[in-house]
Amino acid sequence: MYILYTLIIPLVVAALCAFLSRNSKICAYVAAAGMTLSAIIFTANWFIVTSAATSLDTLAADFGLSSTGLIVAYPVIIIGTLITWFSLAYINNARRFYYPLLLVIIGTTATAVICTNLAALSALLEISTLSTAILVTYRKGPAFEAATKYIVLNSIGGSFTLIALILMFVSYGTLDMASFGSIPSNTILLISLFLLIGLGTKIGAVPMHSWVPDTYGEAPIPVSAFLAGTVKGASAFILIRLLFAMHPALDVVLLFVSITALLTVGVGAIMAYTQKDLKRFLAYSSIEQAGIILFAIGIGSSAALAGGIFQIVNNMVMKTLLFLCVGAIIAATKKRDIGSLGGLVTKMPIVAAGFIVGALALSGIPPLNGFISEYMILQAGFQKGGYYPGLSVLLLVLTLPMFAAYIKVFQRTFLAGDESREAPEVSYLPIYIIIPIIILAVLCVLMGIFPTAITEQVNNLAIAILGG
Amino acid sequence: MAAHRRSSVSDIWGAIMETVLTFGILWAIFACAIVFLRDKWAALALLALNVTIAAFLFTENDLMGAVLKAALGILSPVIIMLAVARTSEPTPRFSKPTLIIGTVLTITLSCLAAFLVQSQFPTERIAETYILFVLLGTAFLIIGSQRSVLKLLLGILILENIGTLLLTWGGTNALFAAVTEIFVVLITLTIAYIAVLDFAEYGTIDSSKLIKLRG
Repeated sequence: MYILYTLIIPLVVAALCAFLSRNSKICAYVAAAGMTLSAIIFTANWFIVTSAATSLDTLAADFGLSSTGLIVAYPVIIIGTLITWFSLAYINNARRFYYPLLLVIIGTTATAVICTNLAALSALLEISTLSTAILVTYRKGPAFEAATKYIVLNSIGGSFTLIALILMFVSYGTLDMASFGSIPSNTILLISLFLLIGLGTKIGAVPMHSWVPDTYGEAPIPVSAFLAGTVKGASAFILIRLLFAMHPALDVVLLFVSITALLTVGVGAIMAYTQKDLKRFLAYSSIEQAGIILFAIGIGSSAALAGGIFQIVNNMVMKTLLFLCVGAIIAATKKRDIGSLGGLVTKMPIVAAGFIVGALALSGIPPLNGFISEYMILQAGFQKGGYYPGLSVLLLVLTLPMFAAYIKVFQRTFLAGDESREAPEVSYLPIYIIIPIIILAVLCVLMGIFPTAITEQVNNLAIAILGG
Repeated sequence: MAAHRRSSVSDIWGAIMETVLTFGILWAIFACAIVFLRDKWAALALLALNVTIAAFLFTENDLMGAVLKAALGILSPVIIMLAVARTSEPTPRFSKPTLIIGTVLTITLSCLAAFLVQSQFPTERIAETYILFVLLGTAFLIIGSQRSVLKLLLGILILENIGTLLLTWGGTNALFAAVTEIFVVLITLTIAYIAVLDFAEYGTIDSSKLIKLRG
C-alpha cells in the first residue's frame, strides 16, 4: 500500500503547488518536500518495511498496477526528487505552471511503468506528453517553436500508440496486459509496427527524432534532464512490456528494431560530435543512448532484455547527471556554447568530476555502471547468433564517435581555454545544484562496482516479461 | 422458423453494412474536405465528421460512445475555430489541383492497400477495413501536405478518430472510449494554445517557418 502513496504523492503535491503557485518560493519548497517524502517512503518500502512487490501485487487487481516495473519506477521517483531539488536553485521565481506540471510528469511517468491497464496507460502517456509540451514553452521565444515541434510529432506518435493499444484490447479482449492470450502473428506484426512508431517517437528513435534536440535545447535544464533520462527510459520500458506481452515477439519485428537501433546510434553519435551547444550535444547523445536500449530490445532474448532494462536504469542516472552538470555550468557562467567555455576544471571541480564520471559511464568504461549494462547487451548479441554478432560489432563501432565527442566536450569545456580569451567568470553554485550532482555521480560508481543487486532483479524481470 | 431467423439476421446485417458504407463514404468526404478547405471550414468538416461518427455509434447501439462523441466531439472543432480567429492561416504548400490529384491518389492507394490485406481481417469487417485505410491515408496526406499547425492538428484528430472507430468495431469499452475522447479535447486545446503562442511570437503558424532551430 505504501508504494501507492509514493505514486500518489507527486500528483497530490502537484495539485497543492497549483493552489500555492502565486508564491513561487513556497511552491518550490512544497514540491521538493513532497518529492522527498515520496522518495523516502519508496526507499523504506523497498529496503526496510516489506517487499514492495508483494504489497503492490495485492493492489494489482484494483488499480491495474503491477510490481513488474518497480525497478524502473524507483529511479523515476529518486531522480524526480533530485531534479526538484535542483530546480529549487536553478529556476528562480518559477512561473506558476512549472512545479505543478513537473510533478505531474514525474507522477505519471512513475505510474505508467507499473501500469498494466491499457486505457490507464494511454491516459498516463497522454498526460505526460501534454504536460511536457506546456513545460517546454517555459522560456518563451524559440521555446515556442520547440514546443510546437514536440507536441505535433508526439501527438502523431501518440495517435499510433493509442491505435496500437486499442488494437491490443480488440485482439485480446481485455484491458489487462497481464492476461493476454495468443493472437495471430499478422495482428502482432501490425500492433508492433504501430507501437514502434508511437513509442519510438517518444523515445527519440531515428527517423522520429527531430523534436529531441530542439526540445532538450530549449526546455529548462531540469525538464530536459528528466525527459532525456527518465521519460525516455520509461517509454522504452513500456515498449519492452507491450512488445513482449504479445507472445511470441516476431523475428522480423526484432530485426527491424535492431536496424532502427543502429541507425539511431549512428545518427546520434555523429550529430553529437558536430554540436557546438552543450544542451544540443546532450540531446544527440541521448538519441545515441536510445539506440543502445532499442538494440537490446531488438535482440529480444532474456539476457538482452535484462541488459536493456539495466541500461534504462543506468541511463536515467547517467544522463540526468550530465544534464545537471551542464545546468550547473550554465548557472555559473551563463554560457552554453562549448567554444566560449574552457578551463572550468579548477573553478568547478565537483561539476567537472561529475561530468567526467557521467561521460565515462555513458561511454561504457569500467568500472562504471554503463559498462555493465552495455557489456550485458553486447554479450547477449553475440550469444543470439545469426546476424546479431555482426550487428553487435557494428553497434560498438558506431558508439566510437560518441566517446570521442564526450572527450572533446570535456576537454574544451573543462580543460583547455581559448588562449585569446580568459576563462569565463564563474558565480557561486548553491548547494541544491551540487548535491544532486554528487549523489548521481556516486550512484554511477556504486552501481558499477556493486551491480549484482540490480543484475539479479533485471534478470528475473526479463524472464518474467518473456513469460518464463 | 430457422429460415425466417436467418433471413432476419441477414437483413439486419445487410442494413448495418449499408450503414457502415454510407457513413464511411461520408467520413471519407469530410476527411478529404479537410485537405482542401481553409482552416475555418476544415474545422467545420471535422465537426461534421465527429457528428456523423456519433450518429454511427448510436446506430451501432453504443449509446455511451455516441453521447461521449457528441458531447466532446463538438469541443475540438470549436477550440480550433477559436484558435483560427486568433491566428492567420499561412499560404498552402500545394495548389488546389495538386491537392485534388494527391487526394485521388491517396484514396486509390489506400483502397489498394486495404484490398491487399483484407484477407488478414475478419470477413465481416471488409467495408470497415477499406474505410479505416482511407481515413489513415487521408490523415497522412493532411500531415504531409499542410503547413498550418492547425491543419496538422486536424490530421492528428483524424488519426484519433480511427482509434474511436476501432474501439467501436472491436468491442466497446466505456473507460477506454472516455479516455480517448477526453484526451482528443486536451490535445486539441494544447496544440491550439501553442499555435496561438506561436502566432503571438512569430506572426505565423506556418510549420515550415517554425523550424529555425533545425533539429
